[in-house]
Amino acid sequence: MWLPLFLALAGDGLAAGLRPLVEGHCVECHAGAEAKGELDLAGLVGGAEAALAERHEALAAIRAVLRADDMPPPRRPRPPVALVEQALTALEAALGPAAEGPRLRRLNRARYENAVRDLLGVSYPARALFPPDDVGARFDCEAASGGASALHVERWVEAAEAIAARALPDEAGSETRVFAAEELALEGGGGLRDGRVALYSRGRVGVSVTLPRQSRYRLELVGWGDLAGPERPRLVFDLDRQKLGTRELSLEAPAEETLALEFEAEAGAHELGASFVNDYFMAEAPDPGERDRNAHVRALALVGPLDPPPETAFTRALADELGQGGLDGALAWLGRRVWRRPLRAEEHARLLALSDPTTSERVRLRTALVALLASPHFLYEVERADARGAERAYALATRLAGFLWASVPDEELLDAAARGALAQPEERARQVRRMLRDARARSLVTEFGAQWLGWRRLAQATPDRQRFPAADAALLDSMRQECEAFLEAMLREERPLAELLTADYAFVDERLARLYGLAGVEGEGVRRVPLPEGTRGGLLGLAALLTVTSNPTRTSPVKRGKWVAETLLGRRVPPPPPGAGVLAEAAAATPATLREELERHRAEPDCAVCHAELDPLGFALEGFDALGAARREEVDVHAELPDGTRLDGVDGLRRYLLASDALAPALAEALFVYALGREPEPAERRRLQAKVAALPDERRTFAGLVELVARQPAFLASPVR
Amino acid sequence: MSPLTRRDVLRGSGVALALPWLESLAGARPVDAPLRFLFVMTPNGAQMDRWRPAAEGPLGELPPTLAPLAPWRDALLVLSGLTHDKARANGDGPGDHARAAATFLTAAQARKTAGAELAVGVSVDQVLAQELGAATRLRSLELGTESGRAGGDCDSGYACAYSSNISWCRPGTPAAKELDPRRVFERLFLDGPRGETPEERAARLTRRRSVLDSVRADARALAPRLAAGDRVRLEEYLGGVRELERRLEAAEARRSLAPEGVAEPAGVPGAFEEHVKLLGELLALAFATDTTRVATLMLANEGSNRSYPALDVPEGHHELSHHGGDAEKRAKVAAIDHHHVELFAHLVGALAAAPEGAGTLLDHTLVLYGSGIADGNAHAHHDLPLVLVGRGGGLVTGRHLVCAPETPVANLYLALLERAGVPRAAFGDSSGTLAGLFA
Repeated sequence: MWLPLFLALAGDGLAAGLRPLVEGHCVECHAGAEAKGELDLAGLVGGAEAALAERHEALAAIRAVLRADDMPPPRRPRPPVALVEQALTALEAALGPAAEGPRLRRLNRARYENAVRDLLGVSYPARALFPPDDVGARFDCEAASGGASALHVERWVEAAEAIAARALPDEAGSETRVFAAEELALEGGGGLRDGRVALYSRGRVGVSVTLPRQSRYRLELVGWGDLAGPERPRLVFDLDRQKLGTRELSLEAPAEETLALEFEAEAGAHELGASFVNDYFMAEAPDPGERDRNAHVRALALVGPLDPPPETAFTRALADELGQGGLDGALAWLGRRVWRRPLRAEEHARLLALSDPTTSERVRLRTALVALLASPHFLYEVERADARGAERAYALATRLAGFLWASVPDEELLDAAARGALAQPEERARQVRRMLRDARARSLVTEFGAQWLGWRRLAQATPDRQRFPAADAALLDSMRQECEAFLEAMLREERPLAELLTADYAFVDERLARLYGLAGVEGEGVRRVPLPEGTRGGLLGLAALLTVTSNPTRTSPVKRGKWVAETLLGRRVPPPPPGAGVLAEAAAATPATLREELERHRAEPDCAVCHAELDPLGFALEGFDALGAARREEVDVHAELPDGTRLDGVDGLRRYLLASDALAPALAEALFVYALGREPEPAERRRLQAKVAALPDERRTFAGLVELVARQPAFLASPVR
Repeated sequence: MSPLTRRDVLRGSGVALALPWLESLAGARPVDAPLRFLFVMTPNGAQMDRWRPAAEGPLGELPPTLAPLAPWRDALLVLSGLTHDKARANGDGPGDHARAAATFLTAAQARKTAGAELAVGVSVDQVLAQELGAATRLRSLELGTESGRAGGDCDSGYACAYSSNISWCRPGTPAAKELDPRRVFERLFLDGPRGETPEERAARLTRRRSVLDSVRADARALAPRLAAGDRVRLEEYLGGVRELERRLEAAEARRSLAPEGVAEPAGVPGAFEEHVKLLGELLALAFATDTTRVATLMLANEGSNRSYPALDVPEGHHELSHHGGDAEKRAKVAAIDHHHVELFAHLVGALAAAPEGAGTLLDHTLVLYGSGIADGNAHAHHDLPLVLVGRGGGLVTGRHLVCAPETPVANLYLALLERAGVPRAAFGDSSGTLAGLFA
């Protein structure tokens, strides 16, 4: 697409723009036949201008690494910013604007569930029913990874139908659905005969139904019995194989009777059945009519729902709107709520035209609601390239609600957008503070925190039960609860960020306390307990994090080191070079302790480049086993970084992390990616870090960083450039 | 026969569908049965010394890893020498697991990206689905046991989407997998709420058609005002809407419903073994009822580090596949390889037990089982572990075929496409059509 533009602009600017940077800072590694990554940059800028202009892929690659700050490699000195900017400018001019990746973000499963709950009061299990969200670079809410296949659309449309039916259930009274004998499923002793099911020994007739909503219903059975012996034919009715009650037949053919039983059930798919339980056969009885007891079923019937549909906050509000503004008013209110902006006239008319004017208002709104929920305007955060004014305000409201609540804007936020208040910084700040105080802000813990720190991966953790018999699902769940409680306390109580590392308390229940070796904690439910003077406390001591950074049977100092480097120090850990991960035969020759094996790893210069920085961070945590319990035996937890810093165990690591003061910038950047659904551009990153550094002490909290990110121009601006 | 909307489907204990139902399908299919295609992937490669038969030609006793397939040895074609060159780095550095999965059915080089602008190619199953899928209720079925990884880039700078998908309906859009057997069952057979009358059904379908019209209008109105990259997203959405409309058109004409007596699964079984077996049975059921003719199954995501305590293998699969030559680790990996083939054999058994025409469903199916990696320790992508099972299309089976070194797997895919009546000049990195497969 940009090729013609490229050829037009390529020229003397390009080599001149690149040369100072390349010749001063790149050619040491990227020159000649042995050039690293087979990229001979010296040859590139030294050759003919026209030839340079043809090397699209190489130029695009150079631009990408410069923008991402990926080159020079970590430990090399950085080139002056001016040279990098000059090179980037020349590259931009030559290549044209980078193809913008998708910025259209769709609601991931969590956001969908929350949106439907907050908008309509309906609890819909999107996380179970929709295909899994792909995770982008860090989070499951990134624009680039939110693709949609045919299966997604199928699920969205089915969901829209189901949710609308639940949000606005039929007011119509109960219905009767009759299932004739040939439609019943038969199990056990019986047969279909002359329009009835004859149950001549223990047998069950059943039927599958879909109940429209939670209510009482009535199950009826039409039939008769063959009476014999002291008891009447007894039938046990069941719902989903759970016994509801017992009834008896007392009439014989040609009479028939109706047995009935009322029950309560949730909306959804269910099975109903009636089982004949007291079969009886006495061949010697003198009276032939007294020999055999049977039950005959001509039909089953389901009557209901018997209860009137319940009022929810949503149905009440909708009724108010109907009363005030009629159908048009109610549809406009509903449309703005679901699409997060007012409906356009054409859309309003189209939604009304979906239903026949003779149908009831409720049914018409329900039909419109299906179309509203299945539409890209609900499913995606949409901002058109030419958006201005109010449309941008609504888009910002959506972004704020997605960031702070993992949900959609409420009426107050939409009203603020409508009246232009979101253009004022003070008003924006006020809304952000309001939203942080709301219960929905817990999503910052359960969505952001779980992914940033990684405890969401507990779902895939499989600690070896032989080595760690305590590691059952209940323990993993307690670990998750601890993380959530800890991070929520940090958020709500405005604790200083350093306390993420230095906390002298933990949130434990009985089984977690046992893992940690703490006495005096009993029962379920994590609660805050003080920690004795020692190593545990803060993020470094959370069992969940120590478990997800281990292998099933042993710890992995490399994984833990990488986690510390990336999550707490904000470093980009480059991937291993080709051929890495293949320890030579020497590894198999002598069994060694884990530390010794990894020491040998670090003896290889190609590996040591990164591992000399990573492994010590992990070794410092070796005092915790693969489940996060403190090891009873003596373990060598000394570690030394290449610059000579000694990390002695968890305390040493903690001191190092505090001194490096990298946690706040790392967290801020993670929040940025989560909030915007993409990585920051280099200029945006620099601006963010500067603002973090300039934060006053009392705002160096989790909430303070959230507010800071929500103030960034990148967040406020339209996502499309 | 009473209207099938009221056909009751009993809910069962959920672990395994009862195989006796297969008899009820006897004689249901026309003699000229359609060809079915299934692609099954196992992660992290295989220990090749226990996989590869000793000699080319007719199969004798099967090597240890393939032994569970012995009952169907005369329906087996073991392939050696096939290579996925596009799964190699080719300048992109590490990321062999992501590439192995991405390339498995596409034979294309995956763009190295941690999230933005995924791109690989359209997978062979989706090419088949595009052509053959119009005849069946579902164009294709994509199944798996693991959802995407829940955090971070999955392999050295490659997005998790690459290692958790093998089916790609567009170069940048994976075809989402279904994991829950109950949902799969509902999708295959349940056409609407249970106990729905024909009038209600007609009304429901009409309503859905209007809703689809409406949302399509929304998307069309939106498209021109979006940036180029975002239009791709909308195109994906519109593709899904079109597929639902197609199904609505066919809804009156064709209803694929579960045979009598089939128990509906209760959900996702706790044990991996049960989960895979159940998915295998559902695939056989889907093929037998002609609900679909194209499917894929990922036994686990590529790079899976699942442990197998039931096999006395408490360590993670991926971890072990980097055995470094250690004999004990290699034995454990081989045990996992064998176990996966065992689970696959259960699926083959279900296909072989379903009567169809003069023979069985297996006679009209082509199944490819294998991996995009050979030795997991070296991340090799040549001489891949691949077997074809089934006699569909006249495949000449009961033998071991050795292809010239570096023969692209894509050449095999071209041969399959040609046999399916979907000939292509090229696919992925193909250099020609693999000859000598069919009679």
